[in-house]
Amino acid sequence: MSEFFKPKTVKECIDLLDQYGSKAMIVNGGTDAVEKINTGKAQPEAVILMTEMKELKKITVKDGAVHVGGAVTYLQMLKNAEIKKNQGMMIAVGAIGSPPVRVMATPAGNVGTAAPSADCTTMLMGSDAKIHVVSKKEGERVIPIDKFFVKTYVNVLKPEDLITEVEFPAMQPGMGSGYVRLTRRKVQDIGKVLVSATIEVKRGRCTKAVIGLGALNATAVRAYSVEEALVGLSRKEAQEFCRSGLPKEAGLRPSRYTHYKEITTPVALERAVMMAWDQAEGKVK
Amino acid sequence: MKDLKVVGHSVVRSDAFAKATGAARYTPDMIPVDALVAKVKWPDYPHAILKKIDVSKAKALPGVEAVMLAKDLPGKNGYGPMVADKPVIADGKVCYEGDPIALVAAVDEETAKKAVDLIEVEYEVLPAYDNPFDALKPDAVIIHPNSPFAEEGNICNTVTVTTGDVEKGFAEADYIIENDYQTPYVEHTYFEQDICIAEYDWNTGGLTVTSPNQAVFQGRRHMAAVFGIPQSKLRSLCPYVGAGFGGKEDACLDVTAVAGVLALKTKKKVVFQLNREEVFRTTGKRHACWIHHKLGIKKDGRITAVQAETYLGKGAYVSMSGFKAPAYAVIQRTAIYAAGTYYCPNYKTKSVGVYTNTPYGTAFRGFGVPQATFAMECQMDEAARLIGMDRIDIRRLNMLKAGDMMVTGTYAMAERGLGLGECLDKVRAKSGWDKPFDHGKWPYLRGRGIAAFMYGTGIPLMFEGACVFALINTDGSVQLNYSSTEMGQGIATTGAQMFAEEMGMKFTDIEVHFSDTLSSPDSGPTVGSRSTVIVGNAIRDAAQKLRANLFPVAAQMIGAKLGFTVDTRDLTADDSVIHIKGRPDIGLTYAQVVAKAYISQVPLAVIGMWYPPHPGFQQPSGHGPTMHTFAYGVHYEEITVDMETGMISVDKSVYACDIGKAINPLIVEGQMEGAAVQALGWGVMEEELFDTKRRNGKMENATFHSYMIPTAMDVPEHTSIIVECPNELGPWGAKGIGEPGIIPGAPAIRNAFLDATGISAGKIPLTPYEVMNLVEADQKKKAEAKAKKAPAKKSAKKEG
Ligand SMILES: Cc1cc2nc3c(=O)[nH]c(=O)nc-3n(C[C@H](O)[C@H](O)[C@H](O)COP(=O)(O)OP(=O)(O)OC[C@H]3O[C@@H](n4cnc5c(N)ncnc54)[C@H](O)[C@@H]3O)c2cc1C
Repeated sequence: MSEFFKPKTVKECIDLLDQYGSKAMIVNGGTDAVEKINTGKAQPEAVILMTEMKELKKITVKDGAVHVGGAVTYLQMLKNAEIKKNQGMMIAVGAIGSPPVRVMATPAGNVGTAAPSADCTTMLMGSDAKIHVVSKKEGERVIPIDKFFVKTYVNVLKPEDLITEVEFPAMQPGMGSGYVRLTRRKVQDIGKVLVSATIEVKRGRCTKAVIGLGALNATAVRAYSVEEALVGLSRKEAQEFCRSGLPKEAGLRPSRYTHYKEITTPVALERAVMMAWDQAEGKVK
Repeated sequence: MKDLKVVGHSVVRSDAFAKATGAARYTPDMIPVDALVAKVKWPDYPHAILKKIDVSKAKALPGVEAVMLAKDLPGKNGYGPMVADKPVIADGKVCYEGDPIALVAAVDEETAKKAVDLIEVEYEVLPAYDNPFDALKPDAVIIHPNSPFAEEGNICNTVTVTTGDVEKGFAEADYIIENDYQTPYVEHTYFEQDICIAEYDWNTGGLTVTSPNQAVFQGRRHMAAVFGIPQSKLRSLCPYVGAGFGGKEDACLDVTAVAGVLALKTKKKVVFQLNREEVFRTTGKRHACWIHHKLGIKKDGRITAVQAETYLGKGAYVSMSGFKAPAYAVIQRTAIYAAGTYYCPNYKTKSVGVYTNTPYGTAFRGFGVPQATFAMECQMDEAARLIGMDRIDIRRLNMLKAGDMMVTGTYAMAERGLGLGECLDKVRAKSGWDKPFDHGKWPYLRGRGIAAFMYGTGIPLMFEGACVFALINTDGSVQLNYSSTEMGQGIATTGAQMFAEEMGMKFTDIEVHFSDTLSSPDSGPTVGSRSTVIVGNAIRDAAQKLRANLFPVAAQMIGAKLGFTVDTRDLTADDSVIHIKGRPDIGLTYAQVVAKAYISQVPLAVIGMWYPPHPGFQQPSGHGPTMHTFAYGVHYEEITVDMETGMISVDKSVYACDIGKAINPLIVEGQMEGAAVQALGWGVMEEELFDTKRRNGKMENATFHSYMIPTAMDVPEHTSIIVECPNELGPWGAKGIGEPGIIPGAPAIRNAFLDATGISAGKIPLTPYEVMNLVEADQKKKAEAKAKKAPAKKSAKKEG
């Protein structure tokens, strides 16, 4: 039997996490966690609900960065004016599950689950995001997202850790983002190939690029080789480069889809980058 | 003819309010609080010898009331909708993931689950086959050794059809188009999972079984032997059903067998419900088909010959595949529909059902016809392309016309409704076929395709026919009872409409009681798109009989009022009033007439019945009557293909069906829309996969997470067009529409893909994965062709 808690403050929450340790489970939107509990994969003694954590339900902009609270839902994000400026994020978040899932589910839960094919996670990877974590013992830590995942369904969090926010750069003029997911049907499918891109363009040349890949490796990954190569390229050159082959960082695992991923990842990359490029050049709102 | 008052009108369904408000009761709503919960120990391997089973720990668990092995069964350890070959509990061997090894009944679900986990089994694992070709290899393990239900080795049965002379036909042809086609195993994905509540009857020693079930009488016939009780002591009933699509003609037997034997053993109520994963792994599927198809055509587009060889992956048991005469079923349909809806003077087909270690191939909307039609409709587009003929014109040219001999040696009759031409014309107009079409720009290529179908109404089995019971009460209300199942298709509504029309009654005066062996005679299974026509005619017969009983009473009563004799032929009935023709004001209500009839020894209850022309399909000729009438249809689909990712978007669908007469047009449109969506799934995403390489043939995608079906967002803009070419033997001309709607969608999408890309796909579903394989192969082929054309120097260099 589980005990249920509804902490109202971060302090209350981390006290509970400290008390129960690995026997506690945070349930945020619950769209991953409840399935685990229902199927017996997780049998927590303490279920800690995030529903009353008002301080973690805000989206704010500070010093050029967007801070999405640890209990903010996708629906909240989709309605937020600042997020709306981030084309890739809007697509990634808008593609997750179905409307009822997006009412409940959260980015914190997405990185919490650490699925290889997580959409918001992949976009955060391609946004150079940082995860803010707090625990009673260690206090506050900020973990760059590319240091956050260990392997499939495993991240660096300890049982006592609470994600308080996810942070990523706010969109500026000359900046654009894109997101592409390849699926077997239009909605409600876990992507087979996920690519996210945030780029900056000055006078027709790429000055900075951040690229995330999902569903290819055991975790979402940054494609540093692509990022480096893109800097200095024109739109056309960038397009050609993206198409030239599978990014070095894509470590495909054997499955029915290996070959499919191999041949379509460059296309998805090209499209994500071009989408971002167009936004950076003001061709989309 | 009299204007129709109820038939042909989209009256509000009788179940609409209860279903829309959530009040409607389905089997799971009826689970008694004191019911024991049953669980099954399923095998870890689809194909294995059971070397040892230890149930001692499970039996010792507190709360467990029964653990059963094959040796503990009360009756026959075999059942099936056609032959009794599927064991209730595996005896020594398992042939697929759904063969129960042991059954458990416990006080609650948790205990039952624990008990199942405590059962220990030792296996000798055998190779598992997921396709006919592996199962037919000379060294393949025989799945059912010494079985009376196997023709030879792993072959279940073979059906052949020969008409004319194909050799001659191919010799006459200007072109021969020869291709291979493949269609997948498909899950019905009905909403309501299979469940049975079985209750021991202390008065009779029999059982009452409640389950979503497409054939309560058929189920009872097979189950009584399993329970070792006479059929008369077994009551089988079925409340509203959350869809069946053919699957619940069969899966209901699986759950009923388990709950029933445990109820008999414990003399208690037992509930057995499959969870979704169990539905995927253990219940029937659409047969996967491998079709080699050869089509001969003249330059002018005329078909000269069709030859087809079809191998069906029919899973572990006979189920609805069909066996020997006269039990021909799915396998037969693939043999008689290989020329689709066209006149074909020279025809030769062979269809072979092969046992595999997949779930049993069963009835699934269309019953083998979709698979056969898929191949033929793809071939028609290949033909049109080859000779440069319009794709609608080639179909119009070849379609069966009155007097044409069909491949089974019988003749197409105008009297039974031949509406394909009208469907083609209407789709042509509505889809904008003759207007310029935008084929898109790389990588987003667009195409449009059409496909046609014909589908026989009913089942060509010797027992085909229906009986219904009707009783008019002294208040004028009518109880109309038949054993057909209301599974969303609307038979409780359309049945009442037909009775009301024939009687001249208000629709609301009729209450339909359905699918209960206690309340009606056998109206036959709810399959084969037969109920509106076959049961409908029986309903009409019941109404006519009741009218014949009551009109003389009415004539006498009206005559007494008027002071002279009134002939029954001067009377008619409307809105529940029997009156003088042309004078609705001079008459009596049915309630008034029944009150008098009741005290005049006039029977108020009748049995209505109807039997279609007798089927008589012969082997090996493949000749003889099958169905008395056929529905026709044409589906137009417009798609966009992303050539770089393989993703297909179906953008527009226009669909015309000749159904003879729409008893309730809204319900008919519902069937057409639903079928179009299901066809889309079949065409681009649905397939059951088995991992024979790594996981001993276990199903790979046994969840909705991994088995894709269309979402609302995948559904295109859709138009349904109803065409009515009446069937002289159908009620008001009706033919069946329940199943056939699914047939042409997938080939139309495949043909649209051909139109968009120039690539001939042989296999569905056209998943992104499949599409990219095709695009890659096509690019390779084109590159090779280019290389060949390149200067000799270059190719010489390559060789050197
Ligand atoms: C029908 C359906 C469709 C889906 N489709 C998609 C999809 O298309 N793409 C996709 O990426 N995902 C999809 N998912 C998965 C899921 O919705 C997402 O991963 C979602 O972001 C999880 O968020 P949540 O708030 O529901 O997490 P929860 O289930 O509440 O939590 C998930 C994990 O994170 C931990 N956690 C949550 N919040 C915190 C916190 N603040 N601090 C520390 N740990 C925390 C929990 O303890 C748990 O281990 C789908 C799920 C369903 C049910």
